[in-house]
Amino acid sequence: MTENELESYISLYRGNIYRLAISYVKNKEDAEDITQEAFLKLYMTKEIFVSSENVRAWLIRVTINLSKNLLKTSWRKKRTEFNEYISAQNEREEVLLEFIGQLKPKYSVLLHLYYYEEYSVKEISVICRIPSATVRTRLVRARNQLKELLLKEGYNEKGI
Amino acid sequence: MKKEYNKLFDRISPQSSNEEFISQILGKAEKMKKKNRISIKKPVVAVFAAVLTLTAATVTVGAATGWDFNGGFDSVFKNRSEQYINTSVYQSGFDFEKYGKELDLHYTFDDYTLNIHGVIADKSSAYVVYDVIFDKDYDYGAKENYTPWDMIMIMETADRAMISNDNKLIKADGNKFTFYHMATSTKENPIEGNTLVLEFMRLERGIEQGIKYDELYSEVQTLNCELTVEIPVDFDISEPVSLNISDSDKKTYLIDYVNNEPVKVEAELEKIELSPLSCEFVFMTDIADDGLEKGEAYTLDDFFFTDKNGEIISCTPYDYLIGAEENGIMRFNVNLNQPIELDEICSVTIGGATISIE
Repeated sequence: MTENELESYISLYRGNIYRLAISYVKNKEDAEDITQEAFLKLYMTKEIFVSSENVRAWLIRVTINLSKNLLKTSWRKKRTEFNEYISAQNEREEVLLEFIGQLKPKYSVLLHLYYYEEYSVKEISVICRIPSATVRTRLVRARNQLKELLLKEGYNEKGI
Repeated sequence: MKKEYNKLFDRISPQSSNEEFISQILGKAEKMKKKNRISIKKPVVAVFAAVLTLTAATVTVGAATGWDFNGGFDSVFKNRSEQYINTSVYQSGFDFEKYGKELDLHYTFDDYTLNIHGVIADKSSAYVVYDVIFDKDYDYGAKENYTPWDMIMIMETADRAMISNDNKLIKADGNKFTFYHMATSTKENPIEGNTLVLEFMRLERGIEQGIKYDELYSEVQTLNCELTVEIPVDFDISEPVSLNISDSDKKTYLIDYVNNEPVKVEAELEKIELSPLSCEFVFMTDIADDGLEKGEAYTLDDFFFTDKNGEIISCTPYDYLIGAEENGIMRFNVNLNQPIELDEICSVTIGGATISIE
């Protein structure tokens, strides 16, 4: 990959990859490191991509792998104060932040790909290499957990 | 929900500029390019000889000072037993050649040597054993409040098909620390005929500080590695063995979480397909796939294998919650936490019920 191509992919996808890493590892320092490592891998890879959409999917795949690897070290599991880095603008958002902070990575990454990256269940299944049924059930579980949290805090479940 | 979620994440942005970010990547890439990519095919006989000499010298020094490293090690690890697992199969001498191949790879760095002993693989998983031998004059010994040494690394196939990675310290003996690394792929991206790419990044330990601090450690000790090793999977991968289950043993149950409370659901265990590193349980149920609407997802209750010596082999599911296929079949794929001899397994226990297998 040339430097110009790298620059172009960085301006296209750096923000997305960083936000995906944040959703997984839930702290900004590790997310920065993972984002840098993912683009370094992209620059060094000998893969030939047929479209920029494939580059995006490849980067997401690599970011998930790097995030998983990082969380394997037990002392890093404690760095999860996600809501220290983003300030909520209203009370409902505070509940949402608390929810995202508590959500296990295997759920939060699917939710992020579904909501933010707007991938379909089938596309997530291909990217994460898990069956579509598993993607669906994990999404349902994540949304049920949020519903419970909202109801507990006295909010209605509208829009979940 | 989606709008709120996206609004929240729209406010998150990387802190450095793209120019600075690109410059950091190009700098790192330049450094990496300077390093020779080390391949398995390169002879390392001379290095091996040096390692043997070094190991012998270290053992002598340890004996002369009478320093009880293991005692110190245990005191540091007493609250970290999850990091120090006892894989008796490996300790008794696993036959790498049976399900993989023995390797004799040795790499020297400023303060330590890395030795890769062997690789085992089945259709979906690969398992590598390696050790780190610190130089005798390096400060590697147990330190109060420090985390154990860990190798930060990743293992992937050349086509980047690996979906999970696990690295654990098996054993510490003097200055020699033995680790295993295991990674899992999928049936669509088999390991057979592929090449495993191991990226050893760094050795690390330190004193953790509270989550209120930005820095991970108040003190940290790091040894860089930045080594890439390619291991071709050019050995035969054994076919999974189908284990017979007698009709009387077939009835078991799965767990459905209803309002976060576990509820038992009847199921019949139809088949177990066992490989040296992984296993697939196939259940027949009356459950149709109602996926998204009802959100039904099932899991296995506690389960483990037992071998002929009564040793328990624990497992980790890699898809913990599973929906049923349209015909009611449910497949649970699990990773074994250590390689096994297929002939030695005699039973599987699921949710307290032991099922004999032949």
